[in-house]
Amino acid sequence: MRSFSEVKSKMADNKEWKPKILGMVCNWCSYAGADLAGGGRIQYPPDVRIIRVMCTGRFDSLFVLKAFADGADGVLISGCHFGDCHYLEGNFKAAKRMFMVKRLMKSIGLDDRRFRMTFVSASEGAKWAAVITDVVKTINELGPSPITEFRK
Amino acid sequence: MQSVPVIKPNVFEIGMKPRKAIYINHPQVVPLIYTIDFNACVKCGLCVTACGPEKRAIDLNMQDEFIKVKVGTVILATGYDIFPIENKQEWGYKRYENVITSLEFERLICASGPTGGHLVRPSDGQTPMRVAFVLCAGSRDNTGIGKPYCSRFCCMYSLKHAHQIVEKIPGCVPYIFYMDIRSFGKMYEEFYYRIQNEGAKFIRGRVANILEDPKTKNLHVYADDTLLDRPVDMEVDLVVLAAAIEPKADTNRTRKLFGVSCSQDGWLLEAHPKLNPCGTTTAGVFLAGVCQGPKDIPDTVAQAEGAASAASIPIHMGEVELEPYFAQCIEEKCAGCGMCVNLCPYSALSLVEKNGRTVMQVTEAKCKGCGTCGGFCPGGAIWMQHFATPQIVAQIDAFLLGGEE
Repeated sequence: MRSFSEVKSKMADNKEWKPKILGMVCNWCSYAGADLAGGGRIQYPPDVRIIRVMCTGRFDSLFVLKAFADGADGVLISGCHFGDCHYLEGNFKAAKRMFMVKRLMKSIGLDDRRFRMTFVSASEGAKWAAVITDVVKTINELGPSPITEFRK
Repeated sequence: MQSVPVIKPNVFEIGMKPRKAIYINHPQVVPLIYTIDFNACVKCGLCVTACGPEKRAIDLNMQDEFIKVKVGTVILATGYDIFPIENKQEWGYKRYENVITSLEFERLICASGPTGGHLVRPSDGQTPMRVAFVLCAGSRDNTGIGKPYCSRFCCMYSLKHAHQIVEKIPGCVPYIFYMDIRSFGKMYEEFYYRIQNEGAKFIRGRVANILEDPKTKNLHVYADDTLLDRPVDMEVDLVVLAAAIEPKADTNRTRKLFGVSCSQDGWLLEAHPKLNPCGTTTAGVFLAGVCQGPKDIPDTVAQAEGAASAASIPIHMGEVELEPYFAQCIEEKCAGCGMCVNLCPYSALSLVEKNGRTVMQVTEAKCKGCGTCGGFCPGGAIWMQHFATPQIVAQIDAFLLGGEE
């Protein structure tokens, strides 16, 4: 009988590269929108793992950099539409931080398309699916993150 | 009222009846008092004279005033607008005199309405003997002009209208053009059968076009009878469009005042479609009635009672339960820079002197736990309860480093 790790490494060998994308979504809009997409049985690629925060304003630039350092191929921040933030203006502050991180990524030679901020409201299940599909498509086109490539 | 010289169209009767500049909105209005339309009033003072020096109930110099009321809970029950059905040009509303909406029909058939309850054709005042009802007028419409949703109560009121016609005008035949009859409530299906037995004719098919006979002002209704699978050209005296409903024009303004979102079709969004249908994501704000989505009177009353009960809970509790999500300052790390203080939308943060150092202090009751301060703090000195940096980093690590390779 083969050990679990053997099976796992065998599987890893056969497996083609799949993007690892981290999503950080706000509790009130995008998380609920993703829930609606699930409840509505809308199909979308499974490559984005989401972390729930109360507001996109909670996202720390370091979380994004940490994710890329850990080998994420993409990061998605998704919150409410401007003006709809449950906490009035958290998404504006997140957007400001997003531009800062994007500038930083460009200057260290990391394609800034790997990091994206989107706005999906609680009633936009179909839009959530479209956003995820598009994010996964972008990351697939960009290929594996250069940070993981360097590590090999 | 007799003495008032200014005459305006009566809005409640959809302009089908005149009213004076001083008027009672409609007979059932509560409280039953007169009001003055100051947009029309010429301030001649004849009404003041007619009222007499003893009563002095009219003051023409009163000014509008904004009244501030301090409340803890709010129920939004802002209702709906009727979809402008003239946008569906094929049915000719506003082009043909004898095409009316259900609301106009409702006033015409009402005993206290402009005709005293006699249904008449607007073109010649004759009693119609063939009346076509067009259901789903603008509802369940994916052309982009109408509304994609079902307005829910048009089927039932159109059945009622058919019943009223049969009852009031002997020999008059209602023809109901429908897609589906949605008689979904308690005893509603039985009512549908009753109308069928009373002699109303049901034609399953969407009305493609309505044309007017210019001489008689009669209308030709063109549809496809999908049950008999053949086209229909029916000449009728009057067409009643059961127009769709849509969210109030100022919904966006209202919802932004209260921090409530809306669903894709524009109705206000409830906190949860099944588990919290009266609440919103803003604490203390509740929804009742059609502003949350199309519903008929029983459903509206039920939701209103639910919203009223939900709104009374915090009133009777006398205190508010807070979510356990709030920021805390790690004082050893805090440099007292004060960057977070301006970020907080709730002014929950302030700088204080503690043991000779300037540190940030959180007023927990004000903090809603959004974490905007925690995401920004350059020193990592803010601990967000339940969404702390180590917790989020652990989640990132679990996804990217641990588990699957």
